[in-house]
Amino acid sequence: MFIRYLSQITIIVLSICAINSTCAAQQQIPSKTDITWNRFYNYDEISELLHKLVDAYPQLLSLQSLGKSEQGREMWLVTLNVAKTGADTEKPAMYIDGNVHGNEIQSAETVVYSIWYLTKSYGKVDSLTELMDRVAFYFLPMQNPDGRDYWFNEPNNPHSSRTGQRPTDNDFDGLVDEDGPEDLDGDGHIGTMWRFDPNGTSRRNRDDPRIIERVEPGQKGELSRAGSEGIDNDGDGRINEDGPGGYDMNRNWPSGWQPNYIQYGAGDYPFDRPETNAIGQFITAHPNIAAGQSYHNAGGMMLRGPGAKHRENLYPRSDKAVYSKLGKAGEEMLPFYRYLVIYADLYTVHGGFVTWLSEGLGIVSFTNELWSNSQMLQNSQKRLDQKGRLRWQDRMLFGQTLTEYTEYDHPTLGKVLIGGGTKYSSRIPPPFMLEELCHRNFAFTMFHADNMPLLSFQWIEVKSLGNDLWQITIEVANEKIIPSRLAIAAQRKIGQPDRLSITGKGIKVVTSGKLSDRFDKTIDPVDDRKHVIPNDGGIPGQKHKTFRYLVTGKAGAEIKLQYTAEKSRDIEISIKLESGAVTESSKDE
Amino acid sequence: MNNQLPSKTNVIIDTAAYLGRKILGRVRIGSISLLTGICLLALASPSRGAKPADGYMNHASLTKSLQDLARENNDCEIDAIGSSREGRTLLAITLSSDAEIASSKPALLIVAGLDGRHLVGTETAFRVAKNILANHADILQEITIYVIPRVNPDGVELNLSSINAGHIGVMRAVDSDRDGLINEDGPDDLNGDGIITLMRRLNNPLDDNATHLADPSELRLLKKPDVAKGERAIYSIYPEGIDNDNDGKINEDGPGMVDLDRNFMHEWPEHALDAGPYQVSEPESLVLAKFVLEHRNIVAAIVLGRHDNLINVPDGKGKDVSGKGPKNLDSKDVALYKEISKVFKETTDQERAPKENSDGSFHAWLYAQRGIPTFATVVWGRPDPSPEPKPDEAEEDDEAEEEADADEGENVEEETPEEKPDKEEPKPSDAEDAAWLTYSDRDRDGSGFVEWKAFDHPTLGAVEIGGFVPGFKMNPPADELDGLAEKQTQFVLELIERRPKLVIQGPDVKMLGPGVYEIRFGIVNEGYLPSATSMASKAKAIPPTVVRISTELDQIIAGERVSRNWQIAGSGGRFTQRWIIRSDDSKQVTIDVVSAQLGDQSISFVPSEVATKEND
Repeated sequence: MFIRYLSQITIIVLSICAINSTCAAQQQIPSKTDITWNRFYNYDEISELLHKLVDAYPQLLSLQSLGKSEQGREMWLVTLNVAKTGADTEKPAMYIDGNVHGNEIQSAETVVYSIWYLTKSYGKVDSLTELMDRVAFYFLPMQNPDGRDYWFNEPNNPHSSRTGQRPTDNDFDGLVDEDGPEDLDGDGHIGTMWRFDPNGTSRRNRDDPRIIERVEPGQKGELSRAGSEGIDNDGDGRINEDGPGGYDMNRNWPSGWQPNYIQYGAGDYPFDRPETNAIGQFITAHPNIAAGQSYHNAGGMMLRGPGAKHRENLYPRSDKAVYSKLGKAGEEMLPFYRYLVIYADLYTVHGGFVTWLSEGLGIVSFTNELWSNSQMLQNSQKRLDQKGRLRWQDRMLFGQTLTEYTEYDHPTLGKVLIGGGTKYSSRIPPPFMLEELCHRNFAFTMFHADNMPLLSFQWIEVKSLGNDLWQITIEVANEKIIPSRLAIAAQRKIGQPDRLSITGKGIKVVTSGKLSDRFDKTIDPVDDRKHVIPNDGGIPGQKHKTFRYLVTGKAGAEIKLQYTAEKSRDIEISIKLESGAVTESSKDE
Repeated sequence: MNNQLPSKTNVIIDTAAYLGRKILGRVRIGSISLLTGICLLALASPSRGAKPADGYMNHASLTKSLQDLARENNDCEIDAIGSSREGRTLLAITLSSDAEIASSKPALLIVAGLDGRHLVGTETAFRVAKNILANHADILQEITIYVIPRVNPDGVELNLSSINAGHIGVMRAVDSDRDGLINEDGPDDLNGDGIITLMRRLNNPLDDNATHLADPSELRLLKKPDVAKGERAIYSIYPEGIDNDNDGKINEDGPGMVDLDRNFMHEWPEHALDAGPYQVSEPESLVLAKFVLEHRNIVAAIVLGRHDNLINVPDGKGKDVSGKGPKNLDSKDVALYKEISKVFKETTDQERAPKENSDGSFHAWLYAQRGIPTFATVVWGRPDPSPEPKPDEAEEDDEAEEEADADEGENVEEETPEEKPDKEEPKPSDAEDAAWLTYSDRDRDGSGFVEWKAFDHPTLGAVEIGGFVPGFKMNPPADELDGLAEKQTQFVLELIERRPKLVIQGPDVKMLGPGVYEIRFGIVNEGYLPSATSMASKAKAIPPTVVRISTELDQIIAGERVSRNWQIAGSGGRFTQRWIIRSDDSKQVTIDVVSAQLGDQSISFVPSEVATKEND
């Protein structure tokens, strides 16, 4: 029971503080697993970190592989659950993942940071301990293990290796992945090639030759752009037109899915990739997931659906209000991040992941786009031009994200310049800012998680009507922002309705139903199984709903009320048939 | 709502309304499936107690028939392509003169048995294969035919094995009424006739809305009242059954219900329970999708089931929900469908077919997302009832004899024209249903309709049980199967005759100057159908025909080294290439063609040896 359970927590927290004098000094809580947060980790290293964390905190964490990626890498998922407060499936849970796009790397670190921070805080930080005792977490740092591995271990640029690694015929010539990029100058990055061309459109900047800029109309430049670094492997006259993979796993989810010709990268059908399929199976098997976050980069955004205009009607007004409350809080917690709607503020996405969570499963979900260039100057008003960004990178990063343009003798283009930024030069925070990025986003997801529904019987009134007839009026409250069922869930019949039921020896239910509030005189009667009042609309956030039973029974008989909800912990309470009101405080003995 | 069940729409809505169920979108649950139903008639046997189904194959007999076919014919291979949810093996047969190279020849795909009620499709698919092997095996030199005769064996078996409840879907356990219990209130064969029909109750209590009256033109049929004409509803309608779980609703949560023909990607009815939790969520639909994706040589498909686009060709108008794809056909492909429709009507003599909503159907996906010209047919349309018996031959039959104004047109959903005011007899509110009933009476010994009979229902009291036998309107008497299959075979042959036939022309090589050659090369479509539909070309769903010349880029003066064509028009359409190249006298040039229809080909020549001179 909820009340009893809260008091247990208090006792646990107190006892821990009693034996641990550093309780209040939460800024310096050590972890059993030392992790450096000013660097990035490749697929193998992230996997190792997860194993270390799980080994260090076996009472909180468990590790499983949801399946194997296209190239056979494990899809690691960490469950955080405090076993002594119940199984994870009994609690509302938040699903947090990242890195569906292989190049959007800091998303995985942010997920691992969350596990790291939570585990070391258990029993030391009251609010997080309470949260962990109340809810469960599912963490999947790498939705796209192959894409991440390829990004780290092969030459790339900030935008490449977004895809998974299933060989794909992107140029429709009957061959797959036959013409990818090459690191011709051997610097570990895929740069840009510029061809010497007396009629060129561009030239090197006089002050900073690392900048290649367009010439004024009417003037002749000295360079023309020749694409990304590579050769024409298949001799079709095009360079790098069919590299590894070539699709988008964040377009492979069921809700609003559209085929490739309408939505690039969608695949042949939803879940046709091993990665999305494994995740889809896990999530559909866990209806207790009540909140979702999928980290991406970049741009500094907290995005919600819909991904396409024609799906606006899947966001009833009351659901939008829930998203807005969370998103607005996020804007305070995440400077330079904006709370936006995918199709309206970014671009149209069909078959995206968080929109499947929201629209298909009724889970309140966001995608955070990690890192914004505004963070370079910590000023959203001041925008840096290319020169300014280079200057900043020179001064702050000592030029580490830049490669000089060097001449290269290209087999088909002749003499070219190759250079530009490294794969770390954009979309990704500089390492010294990574920890802050991780922490702020972690904090936002904890705010989100803490607002998963928390139900209680806030007021119960038993009234004798004579002749062993009793009227029982019940208020079930939800003190958090997220309702026990989103409006879309009720509208589209997603999942099971919430239910209030009554049982008791010698009790017969005469009639039952919902009331608009405790002063309401008439019910909307339940006609079939009268002891169960279905409540498809759930308990709204930070509000309550009122129910009433008319029962017959002997005075003093014990009755049990139970309220069940898929996305909240079930609650129950036992009371006696005797006139009077029971409130939360009075029954907490 | 509920476009799939045009003739019974009213009944369904009202039943649902009575049951106090809010139908959101199109939710067909156990009870509703009962209304549409299946006909599993033994030939010429009375409707009562009719047992399925002399001449119709269950899973075991179909499996044996297919195995026998494969054993007896060298040109037939049988493959297990997957399993149903209940573990029945899904079978495909491949007809080809050479199984080794079957996948490099253009192929026709024939699929049947997605709907548990549609037995005639399976029977026809099997017989078409048998006919072709027996009498037309020569075409298997040129084309491969894949036949998947029954995609939903579980649904069929349910209908065949116990009670004919007209089960449509596969057997995923679905909590249709969302009460936390699964399949706890299915249909009950109260009158013990092995058929689930309807119940109608007169004398309704206050809480029970009457929705229908007996159609004055045919008292066995039900209609909604025309209040303006003073008609009054007297019956409330329920599916045959009891309230097994005591929730006040009858048959609201029967066995599994995901409909395979609502589980595919094009216009998938998201959030409808019978459309599945996600697209191709069922083992059966996934197997079928994968089969299509793994056989890129399929140039056309025929789907035998409850849908039709041959009698009533879609109009090619309207957009899908994204606004970027077609609702039904791309407007540029309508002419092609009309032509094939003409051929179909000529070869099969079929005149009628119901119009069904195609959202999420297999055939809609095959066309709209895979670009494959896909022809859907119900195989058997409503036949004309025999002429009214002469009065002296049918003395007692003076009530139900009014022949319904059978709709002669192709479009059964069109309103029948207003009758002339001087006509006295009332017209049936549903001319199709009336005609079916007449056909049942005159040609089927009444076996298509269970006559209303009083029954004492445990909770409803006095009711009558009766109505159309589920599936009666889909499946013909078994002795008509061979004849139907013969016609469908003819259609298949006609369709094959019209297949795209790509032929290579050239290369013609001309010497333009010292070491400079002009090469012309073409691929011509000698067939009727284009190499790909306009839809395929728009969706880039069928890989293009690729032509690649071996000459190095820096030796090519004009022309593309690699070129692609998405659609070579039928009836002589061409995909031509012209290159001007430099080439050493002795150097061999190779032109590679990549084509699922032609098979991959290489043509090599030495330009100097085959060239004509510029001025020749």
